[in-house]
Amino acid sequence: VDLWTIPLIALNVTVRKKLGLYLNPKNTVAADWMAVAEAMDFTYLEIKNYEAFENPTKRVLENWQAQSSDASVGKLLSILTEVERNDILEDLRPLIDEDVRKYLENVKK
Amino acid sequence: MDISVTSATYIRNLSYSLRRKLSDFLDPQDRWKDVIVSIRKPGGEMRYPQHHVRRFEGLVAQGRSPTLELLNDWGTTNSTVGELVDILKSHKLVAAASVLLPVEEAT
Repeated sequence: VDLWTIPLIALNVTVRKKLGLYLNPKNTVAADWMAVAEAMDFTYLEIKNYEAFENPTKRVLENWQAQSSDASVGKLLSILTEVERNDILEDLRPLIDEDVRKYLENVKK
Repeated sequence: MDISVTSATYIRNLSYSLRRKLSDFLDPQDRWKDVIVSIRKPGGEMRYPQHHVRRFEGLVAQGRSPTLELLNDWGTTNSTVGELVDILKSHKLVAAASVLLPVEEAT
C-alpha cells in the first residue's frame, strides 16, 4: 500500500486521541504538536491560536486535512520521522496500519 | 509495579513514582547536568548542547524539576533504561542507578 495515497480521513478517533497523548504535552527541546504543525506549514499566528485549545493536536489534524491537498497518512509519518518522534512511529504504527486496512476495505465496497 | 523494569525498558514507559525518585537524586546539586551533557545522538554528537541545557536551567527558576522534564524530553526517542544507567554509573551516581535496576545489575 502506498501510504502517500491514503488521505488522513482514514485515521479514526483512537489513533487521533493517541497522537494527542504523545504530542499535546510541550517539550523543552523535543518536538511536540507545535513542531508538527509547523512542518504541516501552519503559520506562526495559526499555531499560537491553536494553543487555546485543550487538544491542539486534534485541531491541527482536522484543519490540516481540510486545508491541505497533500495531507496523507504517508506525509504524516514522514513529518513524524523528520521531527524525530520515533516513539510515536514505533508505538502507533500498528494502529495506523490497521486503520488504513479498514479504510481500503470500505473504499472497495 | 516497578518490578518489571529492565535495561531494555524505554525511558518513556517509566512510572511516575520512579521518575520522582530519580529526580530526588538528580535535581540536587545540579547532578542532572552530568546526565544531560552525557546524552549522545546515534551519530555521536551531543543531544543537548549548551543552549538547550540553559532551557532546562530556566525550568528550575519556575520551580519545575529539570530531571522530570529531561526524562520526558529524552523519552521521545526510543532511549532505554540501560542507556540511562550507563550514564549514571559513568558519573558514579550509583544510588540513582540502583533506583532503576537492582544493585547487582547496577554495579
